[in-house]
Amino acid sequence: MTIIGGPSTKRQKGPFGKFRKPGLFSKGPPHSRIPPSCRAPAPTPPWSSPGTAPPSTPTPAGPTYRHADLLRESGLFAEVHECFWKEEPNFRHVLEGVDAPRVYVVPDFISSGYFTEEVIPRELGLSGPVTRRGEQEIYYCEPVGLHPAMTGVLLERAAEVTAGAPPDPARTALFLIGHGTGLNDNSTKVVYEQAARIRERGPYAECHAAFMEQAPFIKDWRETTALPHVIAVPFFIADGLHSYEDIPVLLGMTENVREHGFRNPHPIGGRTLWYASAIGTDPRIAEVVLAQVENFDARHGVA
Amino acid sequence: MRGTAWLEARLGEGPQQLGQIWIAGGALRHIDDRDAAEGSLAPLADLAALRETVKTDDGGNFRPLRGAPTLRRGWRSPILAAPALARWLNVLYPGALAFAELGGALPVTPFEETARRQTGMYRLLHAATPEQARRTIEEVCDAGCLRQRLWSGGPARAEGLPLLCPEACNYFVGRCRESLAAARA
Ligand code: SF4
Repeated sequence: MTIIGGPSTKRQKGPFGKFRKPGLFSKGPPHSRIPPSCRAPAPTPPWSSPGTAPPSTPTPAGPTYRHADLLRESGLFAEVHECFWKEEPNFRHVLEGVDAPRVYVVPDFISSGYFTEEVIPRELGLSGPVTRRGEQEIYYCEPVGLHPAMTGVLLERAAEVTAGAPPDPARTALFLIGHGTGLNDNSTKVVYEQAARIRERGPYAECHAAFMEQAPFIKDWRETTALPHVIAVPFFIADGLHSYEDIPVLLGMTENVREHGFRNPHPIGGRTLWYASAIGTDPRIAEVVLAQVENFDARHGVA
Repeated sequence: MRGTAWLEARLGEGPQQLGQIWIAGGALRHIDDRDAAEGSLAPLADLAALRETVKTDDGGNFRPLRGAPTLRRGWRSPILAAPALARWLNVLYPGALAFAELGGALPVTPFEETARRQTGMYRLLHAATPEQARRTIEEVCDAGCLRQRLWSGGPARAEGLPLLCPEACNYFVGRCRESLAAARA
């Protein structure tokens, strides 16, 4: 989750919306404007280098740190903090470190659910979209995954993984992959919604929502589509066991993604498959965080 | 960031220690590297590099607690102005500067309240007895954290600037839950 204290005095109103700086997060060659510290991680986590033991608890915090770094470097806000449930800094005491009188809280989550509806409000002491805490006003924004701007991020990610040899879009199916346990209907819903939006835009002949643990199953992708080219993007907030191991196996890939990274394409049973890392690792998510802040201002009349 | 002004005032008094960190001349390094030649220490470029450094101990083991006395040696930060120094220190010891600046105004939460607040798989903590809490304090805080527990009257364990703990952290909550679950099984 990202906590933004601000805005800073440098906040700009301009042609790109009130928080945008021209060119800051705008499109370009992949990651070209992203400072090196914020680029997508090396495919091999540092702890898998020889001689080092794996961490006892691998955590999905990495992408959130990078999005926060990007926002910090943008100078659009006086302060940017990040906080986590299982990792320090914890949710609970992060607000004590924020000086700014106006604080936006943006959950770096793919959907709303137990954490965004129960744990975060409880731990941060939020009483609704707007909470007053002494001199501070705290604005609780929607999770990044719910913003319509995610559609663009997904499509750009699909274009990037296929950039080496772009397939004919008329013969290509895009799969958005969710977890789908039935425990959280919302996380399933957002995958369906994004797939529908992409179908409306129509850049690819087909776009399907598919899940690891519920129908329509991603393992059945060869029955779901008859098209020869398939792009698969996990709709997860961070890379981990699912995107490194489970989904590649379900897709029928033989490569070890954790060791070799996201190399593409993969010839599988006479078809060509491109596989992307979790969408939440995309540096453009920082832009979606901003979009959620703007969305909050618009919905709640914040000047 | 809250704590920046407080840090500036402390640095005005001279070099300082915070946990295992030595702050001098606008730069940070491990306290045990205090007298090391600058050239012998690897320069860390940015917060991302610092996060990598704090993530694991010398043996490559994950450090779930930033307050653990297991910080790696052998690195140095660039020379930074106070706001950036505060951000770096906030990676090393999240909240420490803000807690120190708040001092007596820092809200302290007793363990019973932390336990009662838990939901989901942590609901088990509702059943934690003071004895179980005490054992977890021994195993987790006393054995592996430099912070000073304000919520159960722990002693100051670190030299230098205060490293305060106003409430049982989530790592503590997780470990307490584990022992409760094990006791039930
Ligand atoms: S609860 Fe214990 S282990 Fe956690 S930060 Fe406080 S003193 Fe350290």
